[in-house]
Amino acid sequence: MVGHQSRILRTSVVIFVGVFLLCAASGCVSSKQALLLEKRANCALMKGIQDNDEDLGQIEDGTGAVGEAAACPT
Amino acid sequence: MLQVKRLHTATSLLFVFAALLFSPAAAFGQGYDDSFEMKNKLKVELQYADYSEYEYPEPVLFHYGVTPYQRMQPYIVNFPEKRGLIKFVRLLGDRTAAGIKYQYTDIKEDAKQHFVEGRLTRNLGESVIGLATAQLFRDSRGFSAYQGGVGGLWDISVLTSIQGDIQYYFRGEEAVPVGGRMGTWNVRLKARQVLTLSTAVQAEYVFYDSQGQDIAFRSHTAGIWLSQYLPTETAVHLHFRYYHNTMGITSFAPSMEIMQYIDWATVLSAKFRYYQNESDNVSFGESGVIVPDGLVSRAFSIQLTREFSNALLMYAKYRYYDSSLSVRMNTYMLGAVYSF
Repeated sequence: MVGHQSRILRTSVVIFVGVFLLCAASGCVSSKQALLLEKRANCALMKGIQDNDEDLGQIEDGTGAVGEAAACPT
Repeated sequence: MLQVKRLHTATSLLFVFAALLFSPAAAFGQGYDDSFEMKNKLKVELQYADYSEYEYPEPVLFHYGVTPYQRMQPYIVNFPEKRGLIKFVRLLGDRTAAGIKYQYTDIKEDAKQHFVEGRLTRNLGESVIGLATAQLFRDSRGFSAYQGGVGGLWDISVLTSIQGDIQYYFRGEEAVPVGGRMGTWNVRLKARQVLTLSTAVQAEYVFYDSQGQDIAFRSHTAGIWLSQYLPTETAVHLHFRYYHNTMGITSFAPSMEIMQYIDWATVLSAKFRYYQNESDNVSFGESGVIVPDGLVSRAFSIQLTREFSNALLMYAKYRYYDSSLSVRMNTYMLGAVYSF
């Protein structure tokens, strides 16, 4: 179980770091490029990200009955 | 409580068919939503879940001194079986929006919940939005709970934003079915940073301090999203969530979501989520409910969102859930937002 968990954790971290480095290597935002953000990094799909499975986490961690499930003003 | 929930095949198929017929959607931003764009906004959402398999968990082996003994540890998941909500938001002047929401939840066979929320959102400056909420919960098992909170969102620049909320939840001694009196402070912080033309990162931290009649704990939830936009008009979100509770629960849940523009008014999204925990078989006070050690689950969901016009947005979602407790569940959701 612990080995399996570590493997998944390791894989997740590697994916995160790998994608992050690839993205970072693509360059930073300049003022001239700001308008392009509308269609990319600031488009609705990218800006409205949220955990739409948050309900699962609250139920599985068992804390829905102590206020956590109810708490989400955002 | 031994329950075997059967698959409501006909109902499910009907629901899926209806969802497809209506060509669905996803409510993107919430909370500090775009309330300042239209005079009125009406949202309706329905959710239905069925269980295709649900078996009583195996007994847990305990030790009392040197003597081992078995004890039944039922973990009955309280996934809402049916849920419906209606929300109305109205613009009051050009800087303030007021909203009211009613939600009905059929939690399980003997528990229904009514939830009412009042919300005030105010534009405090060019880039700052403030929020105040008051919430009331009424449970059919004979108790109520209350929650109030305030928060703010600050768009520091087109590249950076931060958000913070604080809330207090309270229920009294009459809430015996879920463990009695409880007071909970929670603080939520969120930050988003655009890294490149097509990459953004978002981090979230949530802290809970619960003091109850019989239990007390603190919990920490940390989440990070890496968000990448691709030339195919696709957004890819990698998410990692970590949870720790001082009563003895640690869990992590990585997920990946792909959102694709079909056309500029239609978005199809697919998501896979994995969950795994370590738990000291913790109970939060609700009779017969524990968080078992080694719980593993997988969820796959697909959602279609379509903006039919500036006034009408519709969405539908299907989620399949499977856990090591032999809970297999289908969840269907259908919603619409009408602005006028």
